[in-house]
Amino acid sequence: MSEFRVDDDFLYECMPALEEKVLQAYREEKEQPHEFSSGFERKMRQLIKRMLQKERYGFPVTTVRRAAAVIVVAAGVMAASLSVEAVRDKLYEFVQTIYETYIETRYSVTEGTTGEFRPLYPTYIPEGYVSVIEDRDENFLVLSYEKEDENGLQGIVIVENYVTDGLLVSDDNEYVSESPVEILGCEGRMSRKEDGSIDVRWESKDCLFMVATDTLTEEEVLKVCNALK
Amino acid sequence: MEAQYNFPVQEITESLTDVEKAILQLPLTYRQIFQMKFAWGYPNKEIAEVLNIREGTLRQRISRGKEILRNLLEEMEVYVDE
Repeated sequence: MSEFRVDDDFLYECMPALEEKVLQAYREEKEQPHEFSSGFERKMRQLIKRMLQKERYGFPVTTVRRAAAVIVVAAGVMAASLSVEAVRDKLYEFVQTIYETYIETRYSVTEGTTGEFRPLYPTYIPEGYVSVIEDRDENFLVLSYEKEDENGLQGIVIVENYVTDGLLVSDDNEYVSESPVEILGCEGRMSRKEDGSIDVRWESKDCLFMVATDTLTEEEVLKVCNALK
Repeated sequence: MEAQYNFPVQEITESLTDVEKAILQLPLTYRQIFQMKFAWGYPNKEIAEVLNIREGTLRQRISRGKEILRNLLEEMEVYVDE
């Protein structure tokens, strides 16, 4: 007789192992023809797309227990331009660790709290995009918009990450090019990848902002960024 | 409780622990949620969206699933509540 509690930790430990055994059984089974409904296929495509967005942009996985899912938060990492006024001292500092394909930044608040998170919502989103995800807590906001047309599923992800003590952000660094941009009076940077996707990052009022998209033009992305006010 | 398997469980029975056997006896509704949440790491919001249920309902089912599993383990005498 063993002793354990049936809680989240217990299940996070048990379920992956069981999953692997079940998958192994599937692999060993003869392949059987099957066909999913178009609705199911579409939903799964959307889900996969969102999960890829999470991996790519660091969308928070609230059930962060499995190592594979431990991507805490992604947001901009840059020298701080605190606010438009820029009259007060910075209340936090950060340490960056540069890896081969990403940069990890850990923030520490140096003087108590940095204030209160006031999430911003865009006053402009390109035509055809609809909101599919809004995930918010006291220090974090993620908005995801999608549009599906003849070019497939396209997305815009907006991440707002309020700096708190111990905040860890992970930032992809495999960009083809980068250039400085100005967003509502704050310095930022626009990063482009080989696949045509664009990320814009900036920092304002102790909050890290990121707008990421896979198909918008630079002008459209900046328009979305400047609509966050 | 009658199990509702949707995979070739017979082929893996030998390698299963008692706890895993108990999990496989959960009704499909709960096992599916456990799988998405605890094995795949999906957040509640997305699980609720995929299953087309409210997050509150999802939390209730998770809680209920744990309760059922707890009872199953007690029946199998592999669980002692602290």
